[in-house]
Amino acid sequence: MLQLSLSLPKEDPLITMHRDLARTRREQIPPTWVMVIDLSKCIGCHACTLACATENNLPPGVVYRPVIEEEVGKYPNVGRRFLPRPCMHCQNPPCVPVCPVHATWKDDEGTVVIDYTKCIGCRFCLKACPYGARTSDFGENYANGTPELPGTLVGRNQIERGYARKTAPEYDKDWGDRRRASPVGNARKCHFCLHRVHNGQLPSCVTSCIGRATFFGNINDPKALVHRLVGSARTTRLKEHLGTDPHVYYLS
Amino acid sequence: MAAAVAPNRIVVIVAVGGLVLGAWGIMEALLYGTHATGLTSYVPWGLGVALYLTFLGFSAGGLPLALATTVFEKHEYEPLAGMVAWTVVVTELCAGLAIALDLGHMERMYRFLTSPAFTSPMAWMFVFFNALLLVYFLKIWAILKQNENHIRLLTYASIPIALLFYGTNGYIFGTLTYLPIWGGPLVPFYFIVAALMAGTALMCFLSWAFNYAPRLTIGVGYGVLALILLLVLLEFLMGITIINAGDSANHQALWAILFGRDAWVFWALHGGVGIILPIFFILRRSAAMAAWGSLCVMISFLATRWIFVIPPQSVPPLIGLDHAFIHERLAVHYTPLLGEWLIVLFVASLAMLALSLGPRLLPGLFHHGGSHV
Repeated sequence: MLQLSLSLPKEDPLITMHRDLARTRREQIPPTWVMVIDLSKCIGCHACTLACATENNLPPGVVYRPVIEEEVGKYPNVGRRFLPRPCMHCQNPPCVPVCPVHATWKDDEGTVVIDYTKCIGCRFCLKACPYGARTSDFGENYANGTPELPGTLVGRNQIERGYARKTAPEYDKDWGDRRRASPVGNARKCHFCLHRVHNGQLPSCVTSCIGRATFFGNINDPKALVHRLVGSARTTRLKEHLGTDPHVYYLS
Repeated sequence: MAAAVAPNRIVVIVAVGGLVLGAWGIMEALLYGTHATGLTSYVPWGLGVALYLTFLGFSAGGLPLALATTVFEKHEYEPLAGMVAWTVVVTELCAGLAIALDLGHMERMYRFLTSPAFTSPMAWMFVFFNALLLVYFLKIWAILKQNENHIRLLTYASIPIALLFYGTNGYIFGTLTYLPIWGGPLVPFYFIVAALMAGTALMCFLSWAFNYAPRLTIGVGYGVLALILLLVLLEFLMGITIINAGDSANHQALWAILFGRDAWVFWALHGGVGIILPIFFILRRSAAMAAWGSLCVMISFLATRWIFVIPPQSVPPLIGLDHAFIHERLAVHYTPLLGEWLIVLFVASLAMLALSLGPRLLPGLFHHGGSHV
């Protein structure tokens, strides 16, 4: 019993990671944000996918962090694996050099970002990403196909006013109502919730993870939790042979 | 030298009808952008890209003519120069329209000029696209002015620009080395050969349609035949390499082309209409037969582009990704919507109208029989 209690975490990793974020800001440690996902703790609840979609008001057909499910083995020895797949924020991102108009780049914090006002919507970057981490915003709307019922609480106009045309302040910018303007027509992807991180908050996929399987922090901070986790022998990355040097690590 | 021909009334009526019907697709694209397409995030390049590559191929007719008359000194083909210059300009502009309509934000195309990123093959494509267009605009002007020196100079200039331009389109795909079928150093060469085949076929057909000397049409027809055979050889080599290399994603993509839901496009349209029929027609050694064979190549060229662009995208970048989050915009299969087909109709009709009206709009291009290229 004593052994079990000693093996339990001493504090919620969320608190540890919040403290790490605060230290980066306080001590002005140049950040390079990384994410660590412990696959043995992921239970495939998809809460991170939904939290991300809610945080970023993602329209139908746009997803930043799907969770890939895989069945392994043969009956009676079967199991399921779950692989959350955010943007890898590669050190050598193949999606960046193919952009013909400098609309996407790797910023000073190691995050691959997109300027929606520059993107021409050629979708070259979607094809260039070996992880399929970019999706195109085709202008879908949750109110599509909903009939208008005047005088009632439901109906297309109500839905559009309520939430379907709302956009999130991605990249710390107000994008107005969803109509024909950006981000509609653009490439979109996970941006590590920079609008939250810049305000001392963790990305929404991290805070929503009920298994505490997702970790986030500054790899340049040796005291940070992610720094310790990345040093684990269990660490692996997706398609490492491509030389993209992803900033998302998996603990297998 | 060509005899004067009035535009065929039926062709003009069909083209105008196509423009009227196709305008609906253009309107949809302008109003709703990519929302009016059946594209998905895993198949983000669809009929619009295939259409662009098709017309780009048609515009390649100037390159074999320039090579024939300069490098190989086949001066008997020089009377075709004016018609081919007009064809290059028309088909390139049609290609430009097709790809502009395919962009999520076509109003930002000016950014190619204000902030081009030359790390991107697409930026180079833009450069060579405009360079080739400029050269052929100037060449039209020079032919009309009958300035032999300028014509010769522009013909020589067009050769490297055209090779780079058509190669760059393959370079766009070839750099995506992670993607099955697309990635690889052979792809730019494949694009050049495919473009030459389509461009030469268009040239052959028009030389017959505009009543140029039959021996010219037959000669160009043999060029089409040679290029068809070269394309078949390249496709065979690419296929056999993929089969023997053992990469599962490449296998999957090749199987999608050969036996997937678009297999009929490969076997019936590309193989049957695009290869077997033209070979049969061209070997009949008649100008009309060569023209009909070339027409088959032209009609099926959209299928040739389709099989390269669409089926390979049915392989998801990560296994299971297509089932991780279900939505029609996150599917690995793509079916074009009616609006996209109407754009094809509009662009094809526009090209047909402009080409058929060419002799009336610029008769000097189609009647000049001087010793220029």
